Amino acid sequence: MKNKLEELRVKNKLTQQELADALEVSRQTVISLEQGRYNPSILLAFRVARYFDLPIENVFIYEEGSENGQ
Amino acid sequence: MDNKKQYPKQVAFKGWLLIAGAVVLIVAGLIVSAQSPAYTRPYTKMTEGIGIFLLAVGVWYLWQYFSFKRNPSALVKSRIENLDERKLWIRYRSGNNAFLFGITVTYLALLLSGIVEGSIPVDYAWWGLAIIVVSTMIVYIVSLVYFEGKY
Repeated sequence: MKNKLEELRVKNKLTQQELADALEVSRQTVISLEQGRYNPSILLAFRVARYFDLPIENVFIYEEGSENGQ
Repeated sequence: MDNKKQYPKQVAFKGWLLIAGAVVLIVAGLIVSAQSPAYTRPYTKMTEGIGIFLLAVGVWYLWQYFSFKRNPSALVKSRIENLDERKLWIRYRSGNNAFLFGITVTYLALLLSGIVEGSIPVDYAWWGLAIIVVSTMIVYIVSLVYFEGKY
């Protein structure tokens, strides 16, 4: 699954730590999400989308087969 | 979120539970050692030793709980550290690896014990068991480090 997390974070002038604090996750989790190494749970995905005030599909882009490897 | 409010309470509960268990073990060890013959001492001392260990862990949990009350930012940091979904997922996956490794090695050790029944000295059997426990722990830690790097 791809996401626009880094793009949104930079656009909102946030550091990874600030975004992590706002979402109540660790900084490593934000890094992993931005690099596409970790797919978030549906709850965290909604939290991210809500934080940026966007629909979830504007932040996370589902791709066939992207659930593999986790 | 419920988890937010529950987390400090859970830490305090674990602390009190461990301390209660520790007190039971220590008192039981002391009572039994006072009333039993000397040859039972190693067992009662072991019981007391486990009790002291649980007491230390319980006190550590309570210390965390009271430090959360003094410093709310420590609570947020600890909650994130312990409830972060990626970290939890990595721990579950590492635990699963360690479990699979542990039961495989235990099963192989059982097969081996059947083959060599009576011919392995107790010392070697003890070392074999110790290696199984330690290597399972190593698999868990290596998995944690590996998955932390991978995800």
